[in-house]
Amino acid sequence: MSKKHKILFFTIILIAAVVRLLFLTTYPSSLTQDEIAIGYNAYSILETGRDEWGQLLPLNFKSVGDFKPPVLIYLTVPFIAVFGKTALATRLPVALFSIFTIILFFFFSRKHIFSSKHPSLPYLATTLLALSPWHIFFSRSGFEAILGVFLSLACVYLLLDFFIDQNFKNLTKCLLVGFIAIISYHSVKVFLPILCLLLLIFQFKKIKKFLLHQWQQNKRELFLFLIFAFLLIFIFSKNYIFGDGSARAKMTFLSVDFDYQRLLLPQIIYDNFSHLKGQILLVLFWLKRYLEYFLPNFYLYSGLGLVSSGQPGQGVIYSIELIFLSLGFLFLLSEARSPKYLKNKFSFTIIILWLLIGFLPASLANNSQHALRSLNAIPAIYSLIALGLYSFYLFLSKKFLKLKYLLPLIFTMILLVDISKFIDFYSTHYPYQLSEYRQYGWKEVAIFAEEIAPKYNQVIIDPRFGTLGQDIVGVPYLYFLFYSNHNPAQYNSDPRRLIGNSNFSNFKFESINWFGIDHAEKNLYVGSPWSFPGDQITPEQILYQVYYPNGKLALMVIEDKQ
Amino acid sequence: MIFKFIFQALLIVSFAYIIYRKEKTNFFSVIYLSIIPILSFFQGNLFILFWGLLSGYGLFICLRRPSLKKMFLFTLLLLVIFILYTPEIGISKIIEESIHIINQQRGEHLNPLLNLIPRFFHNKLQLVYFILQKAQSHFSVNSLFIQGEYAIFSSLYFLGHLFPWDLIILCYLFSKNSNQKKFKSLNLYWLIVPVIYCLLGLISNSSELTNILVMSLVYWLAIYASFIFNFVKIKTKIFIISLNLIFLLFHLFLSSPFIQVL
Repeated sequence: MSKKHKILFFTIILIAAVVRLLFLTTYPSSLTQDEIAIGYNAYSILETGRDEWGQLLPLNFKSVGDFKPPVLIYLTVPFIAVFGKTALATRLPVALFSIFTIILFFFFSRKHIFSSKHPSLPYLATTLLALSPWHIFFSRSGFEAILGVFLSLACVYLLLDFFIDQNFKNLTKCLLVGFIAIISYHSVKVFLPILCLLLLIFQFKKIKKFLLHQWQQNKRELFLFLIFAFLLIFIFSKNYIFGDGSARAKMTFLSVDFDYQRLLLPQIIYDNFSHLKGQILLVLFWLKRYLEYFLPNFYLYSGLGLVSSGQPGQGVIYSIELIFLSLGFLFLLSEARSPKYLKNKFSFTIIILWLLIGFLPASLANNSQHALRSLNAIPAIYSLIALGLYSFYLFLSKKFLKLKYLLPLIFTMILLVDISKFIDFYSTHYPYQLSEYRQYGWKEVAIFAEEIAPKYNQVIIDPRFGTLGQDIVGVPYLYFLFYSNHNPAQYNSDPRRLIGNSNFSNFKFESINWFGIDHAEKNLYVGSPWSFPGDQITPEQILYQVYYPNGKLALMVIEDKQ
Repeated sequence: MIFKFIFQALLIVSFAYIIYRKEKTNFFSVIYLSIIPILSFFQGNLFILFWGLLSGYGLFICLRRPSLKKMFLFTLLLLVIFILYTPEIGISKIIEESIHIINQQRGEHLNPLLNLIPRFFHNKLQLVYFILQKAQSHFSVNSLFIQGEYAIFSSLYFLGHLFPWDLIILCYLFSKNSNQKKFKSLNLYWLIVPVIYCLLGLISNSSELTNILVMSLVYWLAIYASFIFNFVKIKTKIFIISLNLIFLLFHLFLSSPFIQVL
């Protein structure tokens, strides 16, 4: 790398770091229930070596209704140790890994994707990824998917290295990193094994030759590797395929999707073949969901979901990039036979497979066009955008010399407008419209209630909330634990916890049945406005109120009449 | 009802036969073009069917070996259809539907009246998104191959205007035969035609016109797809036609709305 290139590279990393770390604790506004669960479990592991349910160093973290992948929680432990129970400690690991992803993506695309005759391409692709709204949005919250992308990229990088140098060390490293990757995020469990398997099939001749060579020359190392591989596969299958880790897959598989269960299956005529009909319908349903990831709305205006549905918002890429994504795909097809911009024909295979398999896990789960679950596809998407942009630029600048400087200028200006629009949606409309889905307000009431709780017999907290009605059920107990000084050892060994209860100290988490409670006991209540009968509450009883950024009343803290 | 059904079938088969004779397709193409889902489950009036098939075939002729004369004739045909089925221009309806969303997003800023940002980001340019949304619902890959719009089904039902595997057949023909004269035009017009159709359909408020344009696009693609029978062996031809028939029968015996109609 020349000095000029080094400066360029560090500038890109600096930009990536700034957009991911600046105001990290302020935007987005509050910790989601997943972030708080990760933060509290990391704290519990740090203090006691056990999770919130009292399990010693678990391989799966039991959560509400499912099991969380362990990697991010363990990675958060040192950050909690340094920064304490704060939003910064919870979000920083993901933000840092997102920056590492940018660095790794640069080396990956330079070494294995783009031709060395076009050295600008990896820089362009990395810059675009560094500024990607898709990547930035999930990097700034504690989403495991970011970790999944980083580890998947590392695993494939090592696998491709192995194809080149046929070195056992790279294969072993690849296996180990791959194992950590598939236990880091649910959708990687589907994505990475299929991708690696297909890449191995495409390099079958090399693999066969390598295995024969090892069999003749180095049997001992081959056996050790196979035992190691078998061990990892066994641990993975036992814990994450057939064990607790499969709970999430059962909960979110396509067959439990609302549209399929409630709207499509009832259309079937029930007879002896109903089950078969349902299965065929499920395949068509999957195909529809899969193809939805290639629709323009996902990329242009609704992919990230920063506004309520039905409104134009932010797509997963910038609108100007969609043109180059389409062009990139066309240029990629022309690269299949005689690679000009790509390293070799196999690079074409890598991008195509990455693109097609990247959306597979998300399409197999419920909810259509899920930006988080389809994050695996991001390296392929940005490779294509860079390819489209670069080849289009070369094509035009050859034909029209005057456009050589004008084109980058026009592109940069449009991109800046797109970036400003993303900032507008992210900083203004997202908190305004969707704060309640980020559990806004629970932190504030938890801190307030924690201070005055000793004065009351019981603190009863209604876990249901939402401005439109009782439509969201959260995990407020985690917010109360995270923002209090309650000892985790005491909590996870509490007899109430052992029977699955979340209550601790004098905090009780249940629906508030106002008329069924003895109000002579002097209790404190935390709930939504509709948790309380308005005509029974006097203004003196209201101790604290939290409002959403859109001005709607979120949560109230109320005490019994004195 | 029965006469309408007979006329409908005659019209569909006649078009398929004309294409077979004129374009030198295979006999299996006649069967294929007569049973594509959009035609098999068509429930609208015969005129819409006629204009749809005519404009679809017209589009095929026009784009196969483009010439000014063909372009002119096809534009004339579209103009006639447009005059017949578009009593009013529908862009105002889209503005009406979307203006409150633009206002809402402006209002979410701290000082929407003084601040330039809300005006810059939330204005009538956002109409593009609403138009795209509408276009996507009629002309996307999904609606063409997986989920069409049929009056007798729920909007979520899976029956495209073409068979799902037609997507693979078209991609195959596109990649394999893109250098042949017959398919040369497909390279260029693959993306342009749907866009033009979207714009034509969307500035109108008429669902009949939209139906004609959708049928036209689908029939154009179906004619291209029917050329697969010129390239494959007899066993494969029988397999494709059987698969298509089984798919139609599957839907016929799958869904209760069909029983109600029958």
